[in-house]
Order: sequence, then C-alpha cells, then structure tokens
Amino acid sequence: MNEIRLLLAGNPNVGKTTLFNSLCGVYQHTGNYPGVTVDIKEGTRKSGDTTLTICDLPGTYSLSAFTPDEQVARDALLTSHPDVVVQIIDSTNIERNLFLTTQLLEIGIPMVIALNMSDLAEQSGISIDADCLSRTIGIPVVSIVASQGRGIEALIASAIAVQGKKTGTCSVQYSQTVTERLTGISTFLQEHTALISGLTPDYAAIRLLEGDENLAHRLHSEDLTIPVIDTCDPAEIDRLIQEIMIARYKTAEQITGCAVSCSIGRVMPTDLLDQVLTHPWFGIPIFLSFMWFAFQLTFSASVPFAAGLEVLFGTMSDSLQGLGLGPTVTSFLSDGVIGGVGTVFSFVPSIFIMFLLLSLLEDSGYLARAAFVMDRLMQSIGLHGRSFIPLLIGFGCNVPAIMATRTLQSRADRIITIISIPFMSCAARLPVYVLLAGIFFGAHAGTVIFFLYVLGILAAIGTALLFRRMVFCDEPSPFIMELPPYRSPTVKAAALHMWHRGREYLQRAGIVIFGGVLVVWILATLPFGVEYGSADSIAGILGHIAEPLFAPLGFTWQLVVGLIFGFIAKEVVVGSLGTLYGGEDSLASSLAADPALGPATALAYMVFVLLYLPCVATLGVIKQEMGSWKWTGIALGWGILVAFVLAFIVKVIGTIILGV
Amino acid sequence: MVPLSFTKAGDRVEVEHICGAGYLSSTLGQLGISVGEELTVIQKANESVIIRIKESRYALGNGAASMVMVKPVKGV
Amino acid sequence: MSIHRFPHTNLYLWTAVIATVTIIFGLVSLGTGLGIESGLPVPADIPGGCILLLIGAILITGIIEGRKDRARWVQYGYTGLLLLLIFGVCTLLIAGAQAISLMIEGEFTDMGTLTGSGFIWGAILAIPAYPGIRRILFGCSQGGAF
Repeated sequence: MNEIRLLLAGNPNVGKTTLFNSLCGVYQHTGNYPGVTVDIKEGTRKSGDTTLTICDLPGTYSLSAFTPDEQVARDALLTSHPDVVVQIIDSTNIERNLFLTTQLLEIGIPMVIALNMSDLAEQSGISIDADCLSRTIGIPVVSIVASQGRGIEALIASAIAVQGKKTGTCSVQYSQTVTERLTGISTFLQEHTALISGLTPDYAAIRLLEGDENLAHRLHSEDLTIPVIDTCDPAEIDRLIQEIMIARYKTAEQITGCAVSCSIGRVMPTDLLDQVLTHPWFGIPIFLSFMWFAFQLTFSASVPFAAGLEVLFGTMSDSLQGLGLGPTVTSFLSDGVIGGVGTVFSFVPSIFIMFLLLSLLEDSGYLARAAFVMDRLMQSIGLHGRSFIPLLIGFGCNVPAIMATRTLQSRADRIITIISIPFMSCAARLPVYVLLAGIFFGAHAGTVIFFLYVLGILAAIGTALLFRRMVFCDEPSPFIMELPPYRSPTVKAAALHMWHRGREYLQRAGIVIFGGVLVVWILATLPFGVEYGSADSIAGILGHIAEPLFAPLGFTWQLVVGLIFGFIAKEVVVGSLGTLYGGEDSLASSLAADPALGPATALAYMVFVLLYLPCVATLGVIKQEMGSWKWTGIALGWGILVAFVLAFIVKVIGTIILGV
Repeated sequence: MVPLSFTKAGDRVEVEHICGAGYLSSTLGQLGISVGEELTVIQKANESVIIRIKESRYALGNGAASMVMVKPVKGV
Repeated sequence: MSIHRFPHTNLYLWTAVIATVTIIFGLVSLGTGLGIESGLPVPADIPGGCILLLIGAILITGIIEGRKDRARWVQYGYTGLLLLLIFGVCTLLIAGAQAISLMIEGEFTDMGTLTGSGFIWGAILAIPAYPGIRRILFGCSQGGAF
C-alpha cells in the first residue's frame, strides 16, 4: 500500500476547501470571501492502492506570512516535508496566483497545479492553454471545477505520478544585485545547514532576504552574523525585497503571456455593482436594510414551524401522562426532556433560517464589501476593518468567529476583536429573544430582536473603543483586503451550508443541552418529596441564593437558574426555563402568566442574556487564541459587568415607559 | 504624484512610490501593487478606496491608501 | 456600440416609473408609521418606509446620472431593481408566515398588509424590467455591447 501526504495550497478564496470537500467526501465550511479556512483540515482518499492523506491549508498570497493563518500555511509547506503540493489557482486570475507558484517552485517539492473555476474563466472569455502552461512551468497542470467534481480524477493521477520527483523548470530571473546578495547569504548558510530545517541554502537565502524571522532568529540564537541581513541598511534590504517581488511578478507575467489569452470586456459587472453597493452614502444603509430584513425573516418565517413543533411536543407530553410510567419517569420525560430539550428544538427553524441567510450573504461575495463599507466606522472605533467579518460570523456562532481573527496581523487588533466578539448575538441566544419578544412585544417582536442585535453591536463598539484608547493606545494596522467577484449564490450550496451548521446545532441540542436540562431537572426534583420546580427544590434554593444579586434587574429565581445554566450553552437558558416552568400550560403561557414578568423585565433579561458570559466553548477558544488566562479572565469579567450595567439601564428606562 | 487616497472613482493611475517599509509594502507587493503597476480606482469612500489591478480587486483603508503614491496614466 | 449611449429608452422610463412608485410608498409607509393619516391602504412601517426611500434614491440617482452616462443608469438601476426583488420576496415570505401562524391559531387573516406593501408593488413592477437591465449589465463581461 502506497501512502502519500498531499497539501492543498493556494491564494485565499480560490476554492481549496471546495476541492478538499470533493476529494475527501467531507464537509468543511466554504464561502466567497478570503479567510474562511484558518487552520489545517485533514482528510483521506483512496485511489487504487494509494492512500492519500490530504491537508487543506489556509490561503496565503506568498510565503512571507504576516498573519497567524498564513504562518500556519507557510510552516506546513516549509517544514512538514509533504510528498506532493497541489497549488489551486483561480483560473480567472492566473497572474496573481502565479506569484505564489514562483515561491513554491523554489522550495523544490513535487508540485501539481489545479486550475480551478475553469468554467467561469471560459464564460468570462479567458482562454487558458493548460499544456503550454505545464510546459512553461515544468509541472503538471490540470483544469478542474472543484464545485462540480470535474477533473478530480486527473488531478489525483497527476499528484500520484509526480510524488518523489523533482518538478519545475521555470525559475525567477533576479537582478544582478539581488543575485550577488543571495549568493553571499547562500555561501554563508552552506556552513550552517543544520540550522535551516532541511531547506536548501539557496532557498534559505531567499527566505532570509524576504524577511523570514523564524529562520533569522534560529541563526541569531547561535550568535551568528548573517551577511547582508545583519550588515546592510534596512532601506537597502527593503529595496531588495521590492526587487524580488517585481522579478516574481515579471516571471508570472511572462508565463501568463504565453499561455493565457483574454477577450474580456473592459468593464466588469462586479466593478459596476461595487460602485453602488459600496457607495459612500448608500453603502451603510444598504447593508442595514439587508440586516433588518434578515432579522424580520428569521423571526416571522419561523413562527409557523415553531408553532407546529410546539403542538407536536404538547401532544407527546399529554400522551405520556396516560402511559402509566410512574410519576418520576413521567415528570422526567414530560418536564425534563420535552419541556426542556423540546422547547429548544422549537426554535430550530429560526436558527436554520438564520444560517441560510448568512450563507447566502457569504456566498454572494457581499460580505467582503460590507467589511469595506464598515471600515471607516471600524477604524474610528479602534477596530481593524477586517475585524468586521469575524464580528459578523459571530452572529452565527462565536467559536468560529474568534478563530477567524487569525486573519488579523496585529496582536492588539486580534485581542480587541476577540473581546468584542462575545457581544455579537450568536444563534444560540436567538431562542431566548424569540420566546420573550414573542410573548411580551407581539407584533413588534421582529423590531425588538433587531434592536437587541444592534445593542450587541454597540456593546462591541464601546468595548473596542475603550480597549483601544485605554489599553493599547495605538492605531489599528492598515486595512487591505481582497474583494472576490460577485457570484450568484445557489440555493443548493446555501441549503447545504445551512444544513451542516444547523446539524451541528442539533447535535449540541442533543448532547450538551440534554445534559444541561437533565441537571436542571434533577435539581428541580430533589430533594424527594418537594413539589417539582418549587422554591424548596435544590434549583429553587440555588436560584433564591443568587436572586438578591439580580434583584435590581427584577429577575425571578427561575430566570436566575436559567442564567446560571446558560453558561454551559446559551440554548440551555430556554431549556431550563422550559423545565422549571413545566406544567399543564406551554412555556409561553406560563411566562405570560407570571406576574413578576413584564415587558421591561423581559427586555432586561434579553439584554443580560445577550451580553453576559460567553458559553464554555467560546471561553475555551478565547483561551486558545489569546494564549493567556489574564485576557480570558478580562473577557469574562468585562462581559458580566457590561451585561449588568446595560440590563439595569434597560430595566429602569423600560419600567418608566412600559411598566414592570 | 498624489496619494491613492486623493484619487477619485474611475481614475486610472500608475504606482510611483510606496511610502514606508516592512509589512505594508510587502503586503501590497505580494498582491501585485508595486511601483510601475497600473490600477483603476473603482470606488472612493472617504479616504478608503477599492482598486482593480488586472483581474484582482482590493479594498484599501485610508491608512494604506495614503501610503501609495500614484500619478495619472498618460493618454487616459 | 458603447453602453454609455445605449438606446434603451423604454427601460429607462420604466425605471423612472418604479422609482416614483417606490418613493411614494416609502413616504406613505413612513408617514403612516409616524401617525400621519394618508387614507391609503399602506401599512405603517417606519424601517420599511426608510428602506423604500433608500431604494427610490438609488433608482433616482441612476436616472439623473444616466441622462449623461447610461452606464450609471445601468449600475444604479440594476442594484435598485435587485434590492426591490430581494426585499419583495422577503416581504412575501414574512406575510405568508404571519398568515399561516394566524390560521394555526384560528384567527382571521387580513391580506391587506401584503397587498398594500410597497415592496410587493415595487417587486411586481421590477419583474419585467429586471431581465433587460441584467442582460445589459452582464453583457459587458462577454466583451460585448457594454
């Protein structure tokens, strides 16, 4: 059995993950904007007697990595010694992609080029002679359409054929000055090959000149003085770097010139649309209009589904009463499982619709434009323009949003964005809003939910502003971002994204929420003999102990217990309420009938749920990305403080306007 | 020679100089925004710009756009 | 032939009609939302009214700037019509869902909200214009008439 380790590399947003999904028959999230993949994903595929271990790398424009996700890709390419590298190239933009090719060729690893989106190139009037390209570069070139699985078999065959062979006959022609400098460094490195991690001295010299800090650090740690790097003026080195880049682009241009012909029109639809959608006056209102409709749709369109599921669970609960299972089992199934988990499941349609809309937004290419439109605002509040995408992903789930901050170059930008993300209202909080806004705000529920999301954004803005001004006292790093072309999102692809994200939610509902609700049910039942869910149960005692803390906000002990268990996962808040308010009536009727609960208290509760502790999973990923308990603690404490203060303000103002 | 942030939508310009060194010039360079390259300004919002260079489009915030010095392309 | 002088007079005038209707609906929705009685069966909707005014402004910009340069009309007109169609579909889904919810609860459903919505009328008017303007916009990428 032959085993091959294959890396999928390439520029951001060229379809690496789509190809990975096609090759491995798995699902990893894709989207039409740069920076969707931020860590290495691994999968396998069998082809005859060969087993391929395939690694999907984060996108990178070059091996001079500036952001953490680019560093992951660079390290994998330089130090993991793969058998084959497949560079995926966007056929509609070959020249820019060939810049990376010139760098990969210099490493000297076996390589294949996959020309992805060849159908789109054809539609755009771009004609590519793959054979000519292959001859010019000296490596196999295969045209593919990853989204349709076209050309995959030929690509695999080429990858297997080149493993272990030296590929690439094309080399970059550097200027005489650059060549002399490289020779100087290379000669020096020949005496220190143990310190250059298996790279050839010639290639290591290029890496050093292009600013590879890891390599330079390793040599400096041995008290070595690197010729040119340590002896030349920084301005001279910068000029050499520019010369190297220009030489690479010149090579890319020469390759493209002989293999690509283009009958493309001078004006592109994407450019014309950009002039309106990113207009200085219309840009932000257009974005807000999309958001407003998304929230209206999320709330309204899910109501009939939720009502249907509620009727189903009500019928199931009633039929359990007649099965004679005994009071404890019946209570567990009726109050615990159906009352808790069932209530959470009632909100699944809302979450699915939200994921569908988010997928449509991502696939269209509009998300990157939204980042540009919001850049000025983001800069003025101390956030990097690029932070907007992680913040928006936070509406779906905070965990991938925090991981998406790896696309930010500066550590200060990353920390500020990570601390701000938990204020973006994730899908798990939506059931709380749908439930309470539906009960207490009727026809205005959609608008209330929209303003809760806006409040979350404002809290994130305030946090960023405060931390930038008070803690970091510097300016965000410059905003540079590639804008992908607009593409019509397909219902199939959006539905697939929705299903996979929604399925993750359902799995959590089945495991974490079930566990959380089970604990709440046990605490509401014990000690034996007390009335279920009463003030004398352990849950009641726990709630009553914490209740004074929340007295200024007017929360009942049941609401407090919901908050405590909401730390496990925000979905558990509604599950806990369903368990504690379990009884003859539905949860909505029980909440509406509670005299201690009114619109103002409900609004304060929603605000508190929006802003307080991130869930356990989010906290874990904050620790992982920040690498510091101190910052994790700050994120935690700051959330509680902001939640309490804003919920109190809402409660006071709400009581004046709306009553209790 | 003016900063890119001073251009207007529709302008066709040539990069003449990139101020500063390190991260910014390297990032712009790897995207193909280097001295001598021609680019089209697609949108200008305040001092941020969207540019098109060959088949790629990039958004540059005012910080980055003000570091790229450009001149109009002759004959346009 | 250049897009900048492309003679699509009927389509151009139809965009002007859509812009006018959208702005009227936007003003009435906004006015009704603010408590000003218009006597028209248009639902009170302040955010919706603002969005209709925004789309109207986009279309008007295209019409005004399109007098000198038809490319401006195509890009603003296309975006305005696309927004009307997207939001029209959203309004239809929202109203449909509300009607189903009311029916499940056994309450009377009044479809007046739907028939009086500016998004629905805007979308209906946009349907015949959209394919034409889309064809002109995307024709450019084939190196054709654009």
